[in-house]
Amino acid sequence: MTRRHSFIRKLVYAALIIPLLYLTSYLGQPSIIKQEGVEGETGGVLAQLQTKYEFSPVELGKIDPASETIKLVTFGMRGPAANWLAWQAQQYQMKKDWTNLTATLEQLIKIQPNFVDVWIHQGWNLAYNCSVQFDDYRERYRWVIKGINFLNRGRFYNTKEPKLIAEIARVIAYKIGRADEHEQFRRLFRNDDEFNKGVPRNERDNWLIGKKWYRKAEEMVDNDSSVRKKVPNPRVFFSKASMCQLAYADTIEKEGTFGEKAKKAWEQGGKDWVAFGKRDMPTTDGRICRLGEWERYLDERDKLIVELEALAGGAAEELVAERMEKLTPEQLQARAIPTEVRTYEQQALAQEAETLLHITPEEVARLCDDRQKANKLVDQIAAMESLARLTKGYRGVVNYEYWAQRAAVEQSDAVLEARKTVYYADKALAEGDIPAALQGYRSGSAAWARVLAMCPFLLPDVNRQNAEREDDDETVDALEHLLTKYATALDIRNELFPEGFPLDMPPGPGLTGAVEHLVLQNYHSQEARRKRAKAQKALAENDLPAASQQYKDAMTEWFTLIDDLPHLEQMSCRNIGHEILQDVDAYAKVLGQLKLPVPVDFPLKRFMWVQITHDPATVMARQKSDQGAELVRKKDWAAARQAYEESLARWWTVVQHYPTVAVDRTICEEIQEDVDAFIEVNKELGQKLPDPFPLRDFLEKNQARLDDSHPTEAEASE
Amino acid sequence: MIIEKEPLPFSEWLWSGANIFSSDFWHGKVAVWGPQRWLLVFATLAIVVFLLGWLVSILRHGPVRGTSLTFRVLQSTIVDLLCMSPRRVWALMWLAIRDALRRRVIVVFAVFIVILMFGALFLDQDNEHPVRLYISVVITTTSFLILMLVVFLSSTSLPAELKDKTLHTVVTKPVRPSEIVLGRILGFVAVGTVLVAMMGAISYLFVVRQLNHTHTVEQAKLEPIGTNAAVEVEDTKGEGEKDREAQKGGNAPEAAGVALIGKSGETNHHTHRVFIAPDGRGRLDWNKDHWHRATQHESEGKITYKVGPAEGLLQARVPVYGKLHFTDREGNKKERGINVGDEWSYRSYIRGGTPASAIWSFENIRPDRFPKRIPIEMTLGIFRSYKGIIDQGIPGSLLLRNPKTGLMVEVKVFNAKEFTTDVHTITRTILPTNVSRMTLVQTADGERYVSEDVDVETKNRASFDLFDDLTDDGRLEVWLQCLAPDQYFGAAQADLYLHASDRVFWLNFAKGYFGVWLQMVLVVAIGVTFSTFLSGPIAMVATLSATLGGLIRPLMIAIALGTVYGDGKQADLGGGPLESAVRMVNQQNVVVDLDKGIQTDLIKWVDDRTQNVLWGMAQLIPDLNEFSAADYVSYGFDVPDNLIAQWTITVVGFVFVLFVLGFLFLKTREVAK
Repeated sequence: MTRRHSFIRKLVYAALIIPLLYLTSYLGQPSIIKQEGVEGETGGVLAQLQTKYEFSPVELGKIDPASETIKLVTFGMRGPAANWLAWQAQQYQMKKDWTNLTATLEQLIKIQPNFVDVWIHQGWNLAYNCSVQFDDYRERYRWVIKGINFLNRGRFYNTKEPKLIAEIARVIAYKIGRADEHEQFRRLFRNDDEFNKGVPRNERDNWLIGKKWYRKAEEMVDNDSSVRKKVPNPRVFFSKASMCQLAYADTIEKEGTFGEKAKKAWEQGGKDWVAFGKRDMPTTDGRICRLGEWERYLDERDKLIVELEALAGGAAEELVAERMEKLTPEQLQARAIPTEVRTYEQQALAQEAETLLHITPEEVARLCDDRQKANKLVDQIAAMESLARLTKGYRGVVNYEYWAQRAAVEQSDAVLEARKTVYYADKALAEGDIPAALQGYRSGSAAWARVLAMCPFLLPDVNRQNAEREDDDETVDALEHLLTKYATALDIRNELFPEGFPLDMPPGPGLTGAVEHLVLQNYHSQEARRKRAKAQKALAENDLPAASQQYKDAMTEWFTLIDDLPHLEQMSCRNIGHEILQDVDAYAKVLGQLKLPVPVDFPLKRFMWVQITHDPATVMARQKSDQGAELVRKKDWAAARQAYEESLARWWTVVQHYPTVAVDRTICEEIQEDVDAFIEVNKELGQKLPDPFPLRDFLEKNQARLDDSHPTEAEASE
Repeated sequence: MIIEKEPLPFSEWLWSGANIFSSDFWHGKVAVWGPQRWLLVFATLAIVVFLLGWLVSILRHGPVRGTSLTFRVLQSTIVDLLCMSPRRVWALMWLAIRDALRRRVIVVFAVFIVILMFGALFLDQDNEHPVRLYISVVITTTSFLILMLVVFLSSTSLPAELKDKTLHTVVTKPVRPSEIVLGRILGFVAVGTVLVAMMGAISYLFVVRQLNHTHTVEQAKLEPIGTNAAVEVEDTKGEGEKDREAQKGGNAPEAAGVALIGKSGETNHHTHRVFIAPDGRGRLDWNKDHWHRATQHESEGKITYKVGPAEGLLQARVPVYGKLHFTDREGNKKERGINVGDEWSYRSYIRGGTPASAIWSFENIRPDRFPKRIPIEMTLGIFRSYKGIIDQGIPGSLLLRNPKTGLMVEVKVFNAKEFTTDVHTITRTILPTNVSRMTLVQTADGERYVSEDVDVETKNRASFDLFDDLTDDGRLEVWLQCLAPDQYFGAAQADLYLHASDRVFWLNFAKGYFGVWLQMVLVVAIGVTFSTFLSGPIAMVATLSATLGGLIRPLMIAIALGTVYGDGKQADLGGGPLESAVRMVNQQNVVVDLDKGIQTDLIKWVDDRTQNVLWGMAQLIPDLNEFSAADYVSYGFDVPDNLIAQWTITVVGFVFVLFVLGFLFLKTREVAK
């Protein structure tokens, strides 16, 4: 190669290099931020795009030299490297290699410091998934804190990410406050000096600290319009801080703090919730609404309708009258009947009538002389209508009304008293002081009954379309808790709920209504009633086998209901208890007609046993039996015979009244013992046994059946 | 520590004794490994290569001349291999060393130093196990840098010399091609050795220096036991850690009310709980795998505390492992316990409140090995099928059984701890809480442990001797049972061991670096071999690929066998590489079959071939991760000498084959003739 060739080649290289350098500079020149004394520059195309989409590292957060170095040395292989590390982290997690998992996450976040979702996902992963892998709750807590710290570090690289702050708040508030081990977590959190550096101990409540973080996220959104679009669901986002306050109030009560502190906590919760309701929320159609002003939107709509009707000058009323004339007599008749007493058919007819009578604003507008003004009003009505509808929907998302009402109610002395009474009753029960517990539950029941009479809205509407239990059915939870604990205390004393429970019930449905409400809410009660209706229909058609089958199914449904609400066994609601007893009776009658005995696997055995045990006849039979035994010991045979005779007479009443005695091994054995004792006493006296002796015959006949059947698992465990 | 692949005993590894001419071997029922496998593969390859060469020679030169030439080559090959001059190899080795130095290999060392200087920035400062983290980081970094260096060095040296004709000058001297190849390998190995040694020494200093620390203890921050502060500090500690402190001999204060409790000052991103006994002796509790001693000093009426260095951090425990088997809830002997649905099937589980047990059978347990006591260390998996009492651990029990007499004695009832090493010391004299006899009987389905009554005399014995009563010729069984009904304990073989003794940490650290050295030797041999017949860049890419392949060999085999997805038991789930690519593009789930048709057939056909090729390649590549002792060293376990011996022999075997191949390739090149 000659020198000339070499020179030409160099020239060609230079010619190629210069445009490439220009292209590189055009594309990749970094921007210079305008500062004091420094003139800013927009930089190359990439820098401009980064600025436009707010994606430059400077915009996102602080620059970490270690992270930048690691990004640089991956030579553009950042994507594959991140994938590889994420996969490795997953493998380590699967193998429970926590040291390597955290080490890998360190590398991962150094490579992707500005990917907020990586921070959020891995922070959550540490606090939730890794944490639960540990058996020791203290280790679990450490991992929750690790998750929080991890998220907190993400803020360093991502200073404009409200989502990240909200996630920190969520873990602090909800993971610590709602986990299974929330009691322990909250205690550890209070005692955690390392995490709560500088926070006084009395302010170290996870809900309050969570609230502060949520507020921090809210402030970021309020102060910087550029981050507003990063909030995916503003209704939920802005509700969280107030929800934390409400949860705080609720939690401290559950932990035994009542009085002024609890009252103030609820007051603050109420204030926060009202403030949340006054916040401007963007709607999906680009308008602004306030959740607390839904009623105002409806009022304004109604005012506009009145204005429109006034503009029509009575034409609307005429139209209504005209349509009224077209209604059928049946429709008119149905409409005249009050809603509560309408049958299904009447309801349908009344509904038809209402639809026909309904006049839309457009129809009214067509009757107006000033059509232009009328059309304007129609548009305004439609806009207000849609705003009210949207607001209502948003309120549903955060359960606005429920929390507003609850915050108001919980501040009341009645509710505070009810909760306090039940809390101390629980404590007494746990300490084994049953009389105090029973007394507490009685007072607590009365207190709750007063609250429900005052605020019936606390119980969710059972007729709503989705009658499933909701997480925030706190009143239902509180009532269930009260009833279950009360039932436990009664069970220890072998007592049923007092007749007319609760004793000092104020006017209104009170607690009985509440239990009925719980029953009604339960799918199995509805199902049991449906089966009963079918059985009754089958009976009416004289189809006894079908009726028997339907009743049998109803028994199973009642059994499942009692499994869900065990206090029913002890007659927490007499109405429901009697309803079940009537069904059992009806079932036994059908079986009797079919000449079949009550099946040995009868599901409501336990329920019936409780009822039989508390029946006055059983109580008397037992008393007489005890007397007989005592007299036998004293060898007063004649008196003993008398006592046993009376006992057996009572047992016979029980057997006749409760056909299910036949399948109750315990009761049968008890009766058998009395029969045997009676026979023994007769032998001693040299007297003949009565003939006929139906109770003995019943037992002999039944014994064979019971012997053939193996005891059920429940019986065996009992 | 997790040991998914248990090392074989050396003698068994060295010679399995399997008859390779038996039909069982050819049907895959008997496996061979170690030198026997090597001999088999090497001999087969040598014969195949020889026969192929012969065939080609016959085709090219006719039967007579072809045969003559083949045998002449074979003869000269043997002569070349046997008549190598150590002096010439030494000279060529120096040539390679000088070549390496000329290429500024020291830069890699500088990079390493820089990485260590800034290493702390990349590490998780709050990690609960800093030793594991630091050691695995230094070993991995050394390994990565050294391997990259030798890939470059070994694969480009010969081609560069061929290109600039330096080698032509060398071959004008009376040297054999075998000497050139061996000289290169030894030269680069020497350079690598010096680098590994330097990096090892620096790493050791780095680890020790990073971990060595002490804390301050201020009297003002201590409070008498029983105050709120005490409760608060206690709450943040796990049960496992507290127990471990006691095991490690911390001087726990016993007299409440006079002892002091509090928190130490923060160093290395952690603090400790502090206990100071009434006599002034104290300890900083177990945290981040270590603890400290503390002593109280008084001068001029002022009380100060002196805290000692970290203890328990750098260990080299020598474990004695037993063979694990299980019994089910009826007492039937089983290979494995229950699967509780864990994705990772390393541990299998036993059900609580039933006779289900995990049983470790130990051998050679004699008084000379464990004169006074046997420390049992274990790490269990816990699975709760219901929440239970949150702030209480799951109770378990440890029992010892004499395999011959069946006598079984309960020695410990404990609350299980997870992800931490739980230590239980069994003294030679055992005061039993529960004595029974468990006899192994044959049943139609296998074997079953049956509980039998023990005679009154045995039952009422005040004590049992560990060796006289519970071992039989050094054999001992350790039984683990879960006492909480319907809760589960999980165990793997390596989860329970007897802590026989401790070795020196620095030696164990050196063993860890020996593993890196072996990896380096292998890569040098691969690089030099490739460089004998490929040009520089190609040789480098080939060596790099082989090295990466060696690092991900298990993954390659899993891809080849189609067992990547899930627990590796469902072969071909999601298909081979092409099918996976298609599924990724179509976002198709792995459990859904592809649509039937020619397209799918074609994909599967290509995948089959690709997987076969991949499997073949994986068989030729050494598993470089196998030589990594990072886990042993970082978890504080002595790297078994047996393993070191196996690795060394394996590397020698690979290097020999690579050397012969390299020599043959070079011999066929014009320059070497």
